[in-house]
Formats: sequence, C-alpha cells, structure tokens
Amino acid sequence: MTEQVKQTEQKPKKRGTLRTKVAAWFLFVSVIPIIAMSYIVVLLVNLANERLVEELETQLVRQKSREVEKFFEETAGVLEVRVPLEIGDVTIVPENQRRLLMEETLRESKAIRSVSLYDVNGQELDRLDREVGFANDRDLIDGSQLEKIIAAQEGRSYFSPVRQTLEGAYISIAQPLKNSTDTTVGVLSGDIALTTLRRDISYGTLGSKGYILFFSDDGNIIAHSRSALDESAIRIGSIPYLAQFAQANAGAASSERVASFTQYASAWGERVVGYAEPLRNLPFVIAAEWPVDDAFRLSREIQTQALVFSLVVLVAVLLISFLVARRVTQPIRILREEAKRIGQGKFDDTIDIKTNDEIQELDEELHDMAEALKQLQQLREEFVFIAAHELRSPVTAIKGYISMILEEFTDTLPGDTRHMLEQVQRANQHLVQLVQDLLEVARSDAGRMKLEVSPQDLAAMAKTVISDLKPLWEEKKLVMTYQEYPGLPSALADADKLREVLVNLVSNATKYNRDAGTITVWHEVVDKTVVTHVADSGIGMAPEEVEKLFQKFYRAENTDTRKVQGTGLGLFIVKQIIEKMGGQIRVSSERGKGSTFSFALPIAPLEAKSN
Amino acid sequence: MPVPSVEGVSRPHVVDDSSIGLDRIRLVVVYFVPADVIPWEGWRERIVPALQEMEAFHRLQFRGSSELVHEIYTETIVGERDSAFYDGSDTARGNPHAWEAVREELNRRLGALRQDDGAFDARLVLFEGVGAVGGVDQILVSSGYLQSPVEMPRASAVFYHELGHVFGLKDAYTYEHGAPLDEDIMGLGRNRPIGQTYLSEKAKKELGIR
Ligand SMILES: [Zn+2]
Repeated sequence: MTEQVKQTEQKPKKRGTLRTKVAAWFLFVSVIPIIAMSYIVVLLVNLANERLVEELETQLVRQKSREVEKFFEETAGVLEVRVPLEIGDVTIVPENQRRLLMEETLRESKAIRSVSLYDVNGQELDRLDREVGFANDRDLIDGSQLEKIIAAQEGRSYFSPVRQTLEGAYISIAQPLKNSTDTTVGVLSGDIALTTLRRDISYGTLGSKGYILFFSDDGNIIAHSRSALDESAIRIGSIPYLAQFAQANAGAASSERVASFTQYASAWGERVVGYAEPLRNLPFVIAAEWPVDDAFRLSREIQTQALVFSLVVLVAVLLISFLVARRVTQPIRILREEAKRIGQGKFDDTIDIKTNDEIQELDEELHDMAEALKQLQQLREEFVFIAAHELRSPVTAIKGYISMILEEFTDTLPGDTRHMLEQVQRANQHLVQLVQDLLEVARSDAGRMKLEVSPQDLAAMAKTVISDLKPLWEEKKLVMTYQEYPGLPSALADADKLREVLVNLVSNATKYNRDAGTITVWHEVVDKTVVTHVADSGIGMAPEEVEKLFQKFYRAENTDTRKVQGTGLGLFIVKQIIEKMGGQIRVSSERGKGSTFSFALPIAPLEAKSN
Repeated sequence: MPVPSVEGVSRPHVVDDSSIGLDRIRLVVVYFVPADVIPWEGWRERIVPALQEMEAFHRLQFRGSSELVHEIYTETIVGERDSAFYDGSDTARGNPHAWEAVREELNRRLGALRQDDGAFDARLVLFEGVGAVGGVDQILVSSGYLQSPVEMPRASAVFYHELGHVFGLKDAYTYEHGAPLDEDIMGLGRNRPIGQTYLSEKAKKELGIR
C-alpha cells in the first residue's frame, strides 16, 4: 500500500516530462525551419526591394537624362548645326545670311530665347530676341571680354552655369561658327530657357515620396521634382553631397563619369536611397532620391506579414505539439494504468490500445501477462479451496472422536492422558477454525461466496449474538453494554453472513480485551446506512497496525496478542462480506485504550421491508 | 581631385570681410532735392514697385539666405545747396561728387545710419538730378530712372547694381570701352530688366552665398 502511494506521487512528474519532451522536440523540429525560412524570406525580399529601388531609380534617371539630352540636342544642337557651309572661306558671315540664320535658329527651338552673332573679334554683329526682335545697332556690345565668346573663339562649345532669374532659369550657350576650311569665322550664342526642362523634371516621381534632382556640375540645382517646395524659399544649389558628387565628376571625360547608388541623409534631413548619374556630354547630373521609409515600404510590409505569419504558425505549432504529445503519451498512460491494476490483482479490467505499433504489442503482452497471472491465481485459489475442503473432513472427524472420548471415558482416563487429549482438542479446534476460514477466503477469492441480501433487524441480531457469546465474555468478567436504538431501520444484508460478522467482531472484542474490561455495542443511522459500532477497552493498536488489519493472514504482533488464538483471516473475511453486501467497515483504535470497529450497511427500502 | 569643403555654416557677407554679415539688409530710402529744383511728387508710388523687384531679385540670388527690406523716409528732403554744388564736374561717371556731398549732408541732418541691431543698413538716395553711384553704405540714383519710359524697365536693375557696390562687388565691364566682362547684373545685366538678369557664380562666391 505504501508502495502504491509512492507511485502516485511520482506519476505527475513523470507524465509531465515525457509530454514536455515530445512537445519540445516537435517544436524544435518545426519552429527552427519556420524561423529560418522567415529569415530567408525577409532577406530575399529586402534584396529584391533594394534591386527594385535601384532599378526604378536608374530607369527614372536614365529617362530624365534622355529628356535632358534631347532638350539640349534640340537647343544647343540647333546652334551647332548652324555651321554655314555656304560661307565658304570667307571670314565673316554675310549680312544677308545673318538674319536668316538667326531667325531660323529661333524657329527651330522654342526654348531659345535669344540668339547673337559675333565676329571673330568678339564684336556683336546682330542680336535677335524672341520678344523684342532684332536689336538696335547701338545696343550691340563688345563681347570680346566675355568668357563664352573667348571659349567659342578658341573652338570650344560653351555652357554657362545656370542663371537664376526672376523670369526663370536659363543657360547661355556659345558655339564657334566655322567655315568649310574649319576656320572659326564667328560665334553663335543663344540663351536657352530651362522652363520646359524644369517642367519635365518636375514630373519625375518615385513611389509617393521619391523625387528627381537636376543639377549642374557646380552643384547648383536647376530643377527638381520634390513636391511642396517653394523654390524661392529653399536654398537651391547648396546641397553639399550633390556638389561633391558633381565636383568629382566635373571636368572628367564623359566615359569616366561614374554613377553612384547609395544611402545618405538628404538636404532635407531624410534618410534617402539615392542614385546619381552624370550626363554624357553635358555638364549636368541627374539624381534620384527616394526616402527609405517610402522606398522600402513594400519589404517592410512583407517583413511585418512574415512576422505575423510566423507568430501564427508558432502558436499553431505550439498547440499541435501539445496535442501530438498528448496523443503519443496517452497509450503509455493507459498501459501504466493497466499495469497498476494488474499489480492490484485486477486482471480483467483491460483496455485494448489500437495504435497498430509497438505500444499495441506491449499492451497485448501486458494482457497475456495478466491472463497468465489470473490463471496462476485461480490455480492457487483452487488449491487452497481443495486443500481446505479435503482437510475439513479429517479434522471434523478428529474433533468428534476426541469429544466422544472425553465425554464417554471421562472417568476411566488417567489424569495425564485426559490432559493431553484436552490439549489435542484445543489444537484441533484451532485447526477446524483455520480450515473454515480458509474455505471462506477461498470462496470469496474465487467469487464463490453466496450472498442473499434481505432486510435484517440488526438490533435483534446483535442481541442474539451477544447472548450466544455470553460464556466467553463472562469468563473474562467483561461488562457488556448494548445500547438500544429506538426505531432502528432494517438493513440490507445476508442473515448468516451478518451473524458471522457480528460474532467475529464481538468475539474479537472479547479476545483482545483486558480482564474486567468493557464492550459496548450501539447503532447509528448515517446517510441512509445503519452503522453498528463494537467498542472494546482492550489492548488497541498502533496506526500502522490498523492499516494492515484487514489484510489476509495479518495479525498484530506484540506481547498482548501472542497469547490470543487467531487465524489472521477473520477480519479479512469480515471486510469481504461487508463490502460484498454493499457496506463499509473501518476501525478507530488507540494503543492501550481499545478499538472501535464500525460497519455500515445500507438501509433496506420500505417495500423490501414489508416483504 | 580634392573636394572643396562646402560643409559648415557660412552666412552671406560683404566682399572680403566675412565679419560683416548680409543676412538682413535694411534699405532706408530718401528723396533728395537740391534747393533750386522743383520736387517730383510722384516718387513715392514709383519707388515701391522698384524696391519690391529688388527684394525679389535679392531673395532669389541669395537663395533665401538673406532678406532685403526697406524703410521709406516719406518726407522730401530739400538740400541745403543748389544743383551746381552737388553735381560737381564729372556727372558722366555716375556723379560721385553728388554721392559724397549728399551723404555728408544727410549724415549731418538725419544722423549716421544705425548699425547696431544686426541688420546691415544702407541708404538709397533718390536724387533729383543725374547719377547712379553706390558704395560704402549709400547708393545715389537719379529719379530720372523712375520717370523716363526708356529708363524705367531697367531702373531696379541699376539700383541693385549700385547696391552690389555697397556689398563690395566690382563693376563687370571695362571703363575704357564699356565692354562687359560678365553678363550678370554687375556687367551687361545692369542694362536689362531685373527679371532677366542674375548674380554671377563668381559674385555669389565673393558674397559667401552657398
Ligand atoms: Zn557700377
């Protein structure tokens, strides 16, 4: 019994660890790949997003570059194309051709605001303004000191820095005019309004926040598409990193000009991912800047979704792992329960496990084992029954003959012989009792105990037993008290067995009592049961003895009990009988003070009583 | 290639002296008439649009880093002397004598310009006579720029050109032949409507405009 208690104490701990182990392994093998996969997905998405951003920025910058190049082809190119081959080798453009040339130039491109023609010495020969028309001769200037004229005279194309005016930004371009022998015969200069170009640039956007910056090699912004910026309010042209990039590229041959794709803080303090590319044959740079929060919104959203998904999966896996763990451990739990029942001698209560695996095999082995144990027990019970049964006749015969001898030859027997026969009679009496008890036990073990319950008058039964045993308790000079319980209901019991129980308890109370002690018998009605108490003032028992009291062949071993005859089967049989009749028995005892045995039996139903 | 440092706080300043800032410029406008000349009553309404044009031009060229404001001394100031005194002998070069004489008289009569609240103070003298000259803290321009239909389109450009001298900028044309060295407002551009001219990159650098 104590071993069983130990087992039940260990159970929850064992069950917990197995289930946790299985769950932990399940989690481990399923969660690690999920986390790894999420990480890879996030990484790939980031990479893809970055490439997408770079591609979009590159595309936009290239597109704008083409627009800018086209613009300058159509404007500066116009000035260049006008090399008048028909001039031949003359060193000055004929007056009649000048104005035609200039008018045609303005017609070619609407962006050209005005055009001027200078001779080789830098003297302005004529000027045509789109709004004013041809200039008066007295307004023509000596351009010999101007940078653009000097550059063009030396045969170079000249692009001025962007000139910011209240009427708009423009640049001035000067191209040498060459004759057919490649001799510079003059300079053609034009002012080109950047209004249309700025408008084109301002249409370039990326996502909802990305924008385009168009700036010259000196770092001055010519145009941009950054929304909500008042142009007069911002200090356009003063963005350090643009100036640096432009500086790095300024003067470099077109093939050496490098593009750049990087992240940095913009002039407006935002973290941006920027792409800048210098134009091929023009002193300009086009850059795209895209605030990181906008550019990487997609990947951030996917990251968030991946995170949410991972969490959901994690929770699901957690639940599933515990379910699986339970499923795995459930048959093992059943096996343990079965093993426990077999340990208790209950061989028939088997549950079939249908897992179709080793656990089922184990269960089947367990069932076989239970069957074998059951047969073994039956065999043992059979043997005890047969042995007891076979012993009964001889010991009964011995009993009869000894009684006869002692009664009929009581006067003729020598004193010694008589004394010895009396010893034999007592020993035989004990043997008879033992055989009877063994038979009873064997019957009860094998389920052969026959019971017929009917309403019994406990009070009458108790009084009869007390009076029947009077010689016993009188011999020890015990004070017997029977307390009446008026209107005591009938209890459901088998009459013979009930009598056996009462005899057993009262004779125990007598046997284990001290001389001149007391025995008290009384009844109680508790919860639809009739409880009968048999109290003695005897030797009593220690708590550990009480625990084993109802076990087979148990006898409290101490000096007080040794002199009392007993088989050790009486209380076991009593308990079997009471429980078979649907009742309960318990004992309360104190060493040296006495014991009280109480058994409860169900109250008989009224109709049963009337029968 | 070394990258020139463009970092750090730099504020616009007068040429060659970064200690005199140009973040805020206050232009005190006075109308000055020599004693023997009949004052022109229409100056007040003509000067305001010109000043506004100058201010817009200034804001754009300084990229918003400086503010030009004006205060108009509404009373006509009648000079103590006649035109002959102020004009001197070489009115062809912008009338520097008148600039000197008027400055001396105004400083005496109105007190020298305040220079103590962080603003850069300058005086615009609309002079009833000939002249267009600027330097130190004063520009003197003929009221004729606001009266002649021929001169009016370029009046504010001329005024700002002279203000440029106050900032320390040099003329961008040769004095011998008048050949422009630059097309900006200090050169050829002074003869253009102010809306079509600009401040050269060289001038911006000199003024510390980033
Ligand atoms: Zn000048």
